[in-house]
Amino acid sequence: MRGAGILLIEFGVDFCSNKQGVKMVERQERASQMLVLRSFFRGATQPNFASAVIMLGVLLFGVLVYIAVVNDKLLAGDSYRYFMDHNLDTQTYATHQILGVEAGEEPSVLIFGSSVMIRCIKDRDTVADLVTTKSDQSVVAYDLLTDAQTMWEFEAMVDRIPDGGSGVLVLGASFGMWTYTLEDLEELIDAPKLGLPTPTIDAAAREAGIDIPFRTHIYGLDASSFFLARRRTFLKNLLSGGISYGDPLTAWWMKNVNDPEFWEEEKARLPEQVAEVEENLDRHLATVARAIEDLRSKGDYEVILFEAPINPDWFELDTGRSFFTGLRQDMMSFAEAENIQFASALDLVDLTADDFVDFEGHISNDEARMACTEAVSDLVVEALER
Amino acid sequence: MNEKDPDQVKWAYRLGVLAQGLILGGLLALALMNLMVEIGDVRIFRYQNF
Repeated sequence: MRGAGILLIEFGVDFCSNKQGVKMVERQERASQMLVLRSFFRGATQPNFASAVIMLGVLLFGVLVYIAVVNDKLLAGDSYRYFMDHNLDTQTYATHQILGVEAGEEPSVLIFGSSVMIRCIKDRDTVADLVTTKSDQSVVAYDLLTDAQTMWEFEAMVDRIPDGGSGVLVLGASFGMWTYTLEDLEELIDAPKLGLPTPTIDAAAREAGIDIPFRTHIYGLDASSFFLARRRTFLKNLLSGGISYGDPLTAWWMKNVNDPEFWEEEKARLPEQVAEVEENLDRHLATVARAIEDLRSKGDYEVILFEAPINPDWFELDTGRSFFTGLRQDMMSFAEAENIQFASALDLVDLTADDFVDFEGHISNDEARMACTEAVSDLVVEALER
Repeated sequence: MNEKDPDQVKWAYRLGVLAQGLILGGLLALALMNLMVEIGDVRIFRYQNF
């Protein structure tokens, strides 16, 4: 019994001393961890040369990654969807389309124009299908239509077409495209709408005495305004998976302009627009002539100057009738001088005032749009057969 | 303190220096990007105020 008692006491003493030992080791470990943590914070917070070098290295690495990633292949591919501001972001979509143009064996159908023409063409696949069926030769259609497109942007996109191709270029000109002033050109330099470097716009601006920012000839840097403006859009789209191009007839503003009060405002604005066209038409025709010359140097292309749909109610007004008749005559004379084809939606498509949401010429319904698409496709077929 | 501690302390300090550089580099890149946005007055074109 006594022996067992001694054993118990010894065990108790051992147990207590072991417990104290464990606590001591734990304390030492905690102190050691605190020391390591303090050391980390000292390194992370005290100013030091190595951190400054790493900081500049990170910045340089970021710039290099940006330059490597943001090139003409980025928007040409499906990743353009991450830069779409909304489903009718025509500038991003047209940039995607023009960067994807290939000088392949199949002829290209290149369709340019503004918001009026956007609602005259159903989509690129429909045009390609119609032309392929009617001409019995496979074509690739490109939708290069952008809202408020200027002739300077048209020229800039033509400049991106690769050498060695063939096909038909349709420039669907609405009257608004002839109104843009040098202030609008300056605006294009300050806030470019297309996501690519535009040397032809720079040249036009330089000629007009407009200051051009320093150009590096590096795609991502020269087009940085486009990408910087879309930085939040990009992050949002990364999470949502991107935005696909939508149906232009669903644009929300169309219901706002489909209003008699708005139409009266448009009519009242016409004399001002007539004056703008008179002032700027020659400059824009010269831009189109340059673009045609550039296109012809690239390959075997036919060019069609297509007068975009006009609301027939304009012809009920004296000012409207004389303006549109005169403008058509100017366009026809230009087409003849440049040896290109002229055609008008007025002659080829049976459109009534009810087919438009406004006087600017935006078509309101799919039936009228399809008729317009077929008319343009027929012109392309004829041009391909020439 | 065990024998590895001096090394751990040294590496923790280096890790801290690295973290400082990475975080400041990222912040500097963001600051420069926002500066370019402000100076360039960059904006997305929205037709009919879309």
